[in-house]
Amino acid sequence: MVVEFVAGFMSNSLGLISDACHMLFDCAALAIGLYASYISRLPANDQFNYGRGRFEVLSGYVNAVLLVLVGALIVLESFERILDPQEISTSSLLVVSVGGLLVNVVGLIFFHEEHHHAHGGAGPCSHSHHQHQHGHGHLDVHFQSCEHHHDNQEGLSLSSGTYHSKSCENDHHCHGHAHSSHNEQEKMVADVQPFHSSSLDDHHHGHSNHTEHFDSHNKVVLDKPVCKHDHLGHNHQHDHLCHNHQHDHDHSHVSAQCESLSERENPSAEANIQEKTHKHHHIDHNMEGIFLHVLADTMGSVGVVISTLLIRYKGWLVADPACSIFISVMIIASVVPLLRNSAEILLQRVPRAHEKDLKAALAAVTNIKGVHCLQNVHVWNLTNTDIVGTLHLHISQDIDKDSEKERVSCMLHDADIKDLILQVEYVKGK
Amino acid sequence: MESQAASRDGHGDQRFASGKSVSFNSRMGDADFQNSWNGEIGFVGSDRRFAFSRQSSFRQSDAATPLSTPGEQLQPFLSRSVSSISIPPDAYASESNEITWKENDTSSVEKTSLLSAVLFIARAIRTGSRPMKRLFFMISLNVAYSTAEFIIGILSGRVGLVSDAFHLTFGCGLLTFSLFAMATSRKRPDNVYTYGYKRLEVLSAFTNALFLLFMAFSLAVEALHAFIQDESEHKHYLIVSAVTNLLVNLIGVWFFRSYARVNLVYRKPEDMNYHSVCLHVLADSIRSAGLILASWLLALGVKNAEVLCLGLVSSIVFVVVMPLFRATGGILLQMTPPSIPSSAFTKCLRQISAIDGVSEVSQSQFWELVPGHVIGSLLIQVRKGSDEHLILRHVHNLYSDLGIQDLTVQTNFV
Repeated sequence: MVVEFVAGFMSNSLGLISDACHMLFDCAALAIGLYASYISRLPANDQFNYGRGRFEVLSGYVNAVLLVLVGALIVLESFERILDPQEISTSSLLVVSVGGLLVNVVGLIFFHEEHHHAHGGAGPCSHSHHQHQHGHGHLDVHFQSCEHHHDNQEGLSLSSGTYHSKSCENDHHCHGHAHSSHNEQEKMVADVQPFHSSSLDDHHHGHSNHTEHFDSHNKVVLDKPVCKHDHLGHNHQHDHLCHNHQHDHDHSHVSAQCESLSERENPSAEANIQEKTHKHHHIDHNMEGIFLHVLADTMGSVGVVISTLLIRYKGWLVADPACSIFISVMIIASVVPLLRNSAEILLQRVPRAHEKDLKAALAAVTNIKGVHCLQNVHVWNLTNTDIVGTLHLHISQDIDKDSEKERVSCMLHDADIKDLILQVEYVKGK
Repeated sequence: MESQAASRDGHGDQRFASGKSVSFNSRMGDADFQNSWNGEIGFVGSDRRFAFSRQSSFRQSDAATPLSTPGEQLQPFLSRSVSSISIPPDAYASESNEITWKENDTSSVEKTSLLSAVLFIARAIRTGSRPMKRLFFMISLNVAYSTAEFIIGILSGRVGLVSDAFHLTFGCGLLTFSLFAMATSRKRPDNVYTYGYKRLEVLSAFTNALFLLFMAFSLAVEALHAFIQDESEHKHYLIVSAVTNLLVNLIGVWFFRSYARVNLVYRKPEDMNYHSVCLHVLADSIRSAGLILASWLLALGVKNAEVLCLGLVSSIVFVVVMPLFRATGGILLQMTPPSIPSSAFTKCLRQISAIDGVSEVSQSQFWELVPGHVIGSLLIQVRKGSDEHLILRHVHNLYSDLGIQDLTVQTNFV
């Protein structure tokens, strides 16, 4: 960025300077995100009674809002361009855009390493295999426009993706496993998947069919673990993609699915495992926001390259605004789920994934003999994974308070409320 | 209970006096408001009982305040706090009928079509408060103005006008979000948003502030562009549009003039939203004023006038918006409310642990839902054999003195 800036100043080129400004903006957003992911691990203190996990959610929200703003601005500007097509000097633009793309790739590598540092501190990252399935399902939606990048990677990635089949059997796998399975995903991107046509709505609906996706992908299982740091930038990119999507989907629906599967068999033990699993998810909205940002940049550069080529060889002046509109609409569409999720958390909504469990648990609690009523029931997400609940329980006087409390808190714990404060009061009469 | 606060202040906490009683006042108003819709459920007249408790506590407050000797204070606590504890002021009976209401509640939340949203906003505006009507008027004025600009720009083929119109509409989008937040925040809490929708106002204020910061940044970039490119072509039609824009925005500033300051003590949840709207309009008018100034200076022949003005405007916007950004961010980050000093909290904790039978206090967590609405939770370890009910009341009283009504205390026996 600095180089570009200096070069822009030296050559007095406006394009370079504006690109550098854009870079600066990106860097600021990334810095916010990384700072948030660092700071969210600090313990609670006087000022932040709940710890600083909220920083991640907030920074995810900020990133999403900024992306939407930038996207909307770009759309507006392209409309202007359509109204008033401008002559663009293609040669300089090509240089600038290719340079931007390169810098973006470098940025991706940097981001990847930073991400790893940040992540390494958090200990082993264990995901259950359900999450991977979801990651698979959505990967291609985001990356369909960038496919031409991966052609050089295809041979490499074919030899990857070993451990994924193993991870089906154990419910958890460690960091290395997770990463090697990401590489498999790259393979899947390289192949044009049949469900490209599945729209972004898939983020929220119809997850039952992901198991089939998973099976189909799993055919590409070879037997060589891949050291991920040998790869080029593109490869890293995919790692991120996978990570972020896992977390996103874990939040929104996987947990519900997992639970419904697992808790049937062994409620308490599974609940414990779930708890552990949740604890280690540290990258969520924040990292998703960062990732979407970087992705948006890369896509922007790709779009510029494509439109420049179109202008140069076909002479379509409309290609540039059309391309930018297309890309920014894609960006906005991919940001909307993040925006919605983080806004819901910030508004103290009842966790979407646990809504049903919670409803059932509360109904069960009210049905306990001696429980008079429940009041001030508040359940909300502190971060993506921590759920806080407070509750006033009114019980009749002739019932043992302690056992009652134990029972209710146990029931709510099963409904996945980790941090429960339960106030028990006696009620006269009845 | 207000008088309790007063009496405690008399005991030596004078510096909390203003902030606390003020915030508590707003809570009381809040409670009245919410009781009005809770009325049909059976808590009619709870505020009356509040009034009674206030009266009685006024007489006993002197005896009740030294909290370290609970033995002889038990009677007054009981008589007073029966009313104060069993009638938390708000969101009370909501849960009990929520369980029966669940189905239609969720269904009404899920369907959010555009048409219904528009209808909802229209209904809310009709019944809404004055600032809301003003904001709606502002937005429609802006939209009308930008459409006019757009049409003129298209007809006369001036792209500058069109782009200006686009930018205006862009800003209008955020103002519409604020309006939506105002309309929605009056909805009662349901079982999806258990704290109600008031926080949407804070969120919209935050988003607005974020947009303004973004605007400041892009203005700075524009200034840089102007510095490098040094295009001093005079756009006279842009001056005309800037003046009109300035006039339109000044109407908005006049509407929200009571919020037109940088640092504001937020007492109600609406305050933040109104403040953000006001700052938005103010920033827009500053920008147009900067454009006018720049063109005037250019006409006078000053070099780099555009750079100067744009840089000035962007830094002004930045400085003006930053406090709002901080305040809203602090609330969204679940920070301990800055309106209550931390020494008050530590003092409360000390007083609680001094109560007979309490062995340990932990997990004291306090946060602000919206300005003026503090929520807390507490975990107390109680020795076997002590009356936890009394301790509970005691703790609740202590914190309601601080203005914290929404308190949940879990008592565990050691």
